[in-house]
Amino acid sequence: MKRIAPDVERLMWMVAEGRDPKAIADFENRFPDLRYELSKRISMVSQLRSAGRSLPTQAIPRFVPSYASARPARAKGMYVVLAAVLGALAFGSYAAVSLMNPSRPRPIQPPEAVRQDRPQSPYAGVRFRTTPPSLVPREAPSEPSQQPPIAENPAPPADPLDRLVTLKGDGVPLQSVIDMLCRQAQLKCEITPGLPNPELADVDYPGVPAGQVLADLGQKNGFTAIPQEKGTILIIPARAAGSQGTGGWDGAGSTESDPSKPSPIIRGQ
Amino acid sequence: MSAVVDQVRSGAFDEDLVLVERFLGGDRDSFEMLYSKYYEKVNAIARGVLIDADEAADAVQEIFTLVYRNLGRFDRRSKFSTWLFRVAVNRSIQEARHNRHKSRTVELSESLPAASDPAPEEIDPRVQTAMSELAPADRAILVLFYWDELSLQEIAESIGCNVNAAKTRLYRARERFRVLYERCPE
Repeated sequence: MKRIAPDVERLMWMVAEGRDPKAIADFENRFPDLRYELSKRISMVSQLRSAGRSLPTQAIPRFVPSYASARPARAKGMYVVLAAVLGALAFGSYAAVSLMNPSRPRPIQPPEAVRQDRPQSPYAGVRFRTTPPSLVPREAPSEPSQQPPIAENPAPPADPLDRLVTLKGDGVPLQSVIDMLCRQAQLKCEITPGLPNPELADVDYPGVPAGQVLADLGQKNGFTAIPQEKGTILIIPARAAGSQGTGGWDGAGSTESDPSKPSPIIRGQ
Repeated sequence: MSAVVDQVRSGAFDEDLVLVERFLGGDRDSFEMLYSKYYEKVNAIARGVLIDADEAADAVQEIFTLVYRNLGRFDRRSKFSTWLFRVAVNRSIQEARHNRHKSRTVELSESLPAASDPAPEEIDPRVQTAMSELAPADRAILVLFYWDELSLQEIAESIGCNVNAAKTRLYRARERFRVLYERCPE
């Protein structure tokens, strides 16, 4: 059968469902070759409608809601069960995660003074002007006995300025050295504007109290480290009058070192 | 009752709302009245979609149970009858899909009482065959249009789409029915 154009198809259906004799006659006059197709559709629609009317008109059975009495309790019970299941799932997930990660995130600890097994620079995040020299001991540490006995100290001193730091490097900017010192000693450092930032040659402070290092650096590079509230130091680009670089730190501010603590190794010594 | 008043004011009064409000207020007889009023139409939907009389009877009871339990959720944005037919169509289609494996070659006229209704020969068996081979959704829309004689707007609301989509679905279902119907020997 030749394909019927969509608009003619639509018209044919309208006529078939309307069953208006005049509309039927009109259609047959306009499209005589579609008379048979139209008659088939009229018959089909008629039979389809009749099938619906032919359904038995039985007596309407009495309505008895199946779950009427239990509905509220059932709904509430379901919600309680669902809540319990969700709670159990949440607790189980938490327990599983806790078991898999038994260790808590550790607070940031200063790195050990002796970096024996660290192949890379701890100052990876510090920008260097030139080829970043490493501030870790360059020589592969050979004998533990050659290292200062810092590692034997289990707990850091309460005063951050008494904490021992190890700094070693060459051609490292001053501010990077101060930054690393503060990280090791867990000091918060505030540097006032104007502090020069020369590259330091031969930085070597193995296990020296942070305050002593600051004093030494201050003396050599023209700044004063002034302790503020606990754990904070202020670096100002001038030496305090009469000071030899201590700037308020009551520890060893001179080259005379405390005999109980190892002295800094200064170049040439 | 405010919903009823609003509808009267707007001119789109749905008389079934009165019964709905009464039922929600605790009058169980009001639901019985709704049930009696719409039983035949819902039964026609269920029969048309499910074909099998027993399955349809079960479905009708489930449909009205659903309506009974959830009448409080009826949002009154449509007429009650539209909402009811929507429940009926969805539930019947669901049931039909669930019972897909069962044989659908059940006579539409099998439960005809002998003394009433048109003689069996007036019912075209090709209609039964073609309907049984259609998808439940197609059967549903044909039933709504040809058996329940709903308008396209009411059909659209019952099946949850707009009028144009309902029209398209109807045309397609009708075309599929026609192909199956004409394939059956007369």
